[in-house]
Amino acid sequence: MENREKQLPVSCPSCGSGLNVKMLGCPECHTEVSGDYDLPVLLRLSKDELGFVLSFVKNSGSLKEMASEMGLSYPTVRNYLNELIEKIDRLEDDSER
Amino acid sequence: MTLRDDKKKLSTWLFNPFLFVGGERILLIGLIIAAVHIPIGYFLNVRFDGAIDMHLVPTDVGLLTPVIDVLIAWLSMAGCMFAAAKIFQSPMRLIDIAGAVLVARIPLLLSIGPVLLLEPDFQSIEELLNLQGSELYQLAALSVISLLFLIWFFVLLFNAFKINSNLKGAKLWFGFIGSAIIAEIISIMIQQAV
Repeated sequence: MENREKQLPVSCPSCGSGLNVKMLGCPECHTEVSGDYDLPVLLRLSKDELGFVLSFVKNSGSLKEMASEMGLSYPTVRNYLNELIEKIDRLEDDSER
Repeated sequence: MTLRDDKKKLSTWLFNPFLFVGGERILLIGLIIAAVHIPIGYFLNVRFDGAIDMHLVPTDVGLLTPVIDVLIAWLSMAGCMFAAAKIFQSPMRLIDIAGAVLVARIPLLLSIGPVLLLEPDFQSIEELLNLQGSELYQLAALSVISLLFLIWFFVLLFNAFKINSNLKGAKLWFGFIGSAIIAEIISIMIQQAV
């Protein structure tokens, strides 16, 4: 069987709502902590969106450098960033409710 | 980002190269395209006398006319699109739209090929209206091909405005149509003044 990369599920496969963390485990001593924790906003982003945020930080916020690194035009990168900001605003509004 | 897949598609490069090319690069490509207007205008007697115009003329055009034509067409279109974006508070950069509107003119330049090959020989409107047989089919084919090039030109122009302004919905359409119409009016007024 192919070794597929696991992705953190962030939305409910049944109703589409954002998921919460119910249990955390220590991989060393196998201690388990259970509770009801909200996922941080950044973890609710998709893998590509999170990759974009990391690239933004690593490039010290320079969209010009990101555009050159990603092989995209500056306006495309800026538009993607604007969409991401709108999504983060929506996620923050959802978590405040 | 699915844009990586789009980069391999010919259709993206034909209709929306602005996703991948911007800044100094698109301005440089645009200026090369602007320069290509000059020999085309001079040797083939083509006028670009309007922001969205291109047609053959019966008299010699000269060397300075295509330079002035392309400058007026370029500055009026880029200026109006930039102004429209600023009215709607879009963070458009002048360098991107200045290069993009010139790149969008590629179909206008390419459409000269079919015009030179297919334009039937007529001297007056009466002769044009009395065209028959193969010459009539030639004219019909030329009309369809010219229309396709015109559509391609407008798709490129629209995408140039869309990508660079990041406007959506009514603001995008109003901004695009408004700036294209105003650019055409301004360019014709300047053409008549010079």
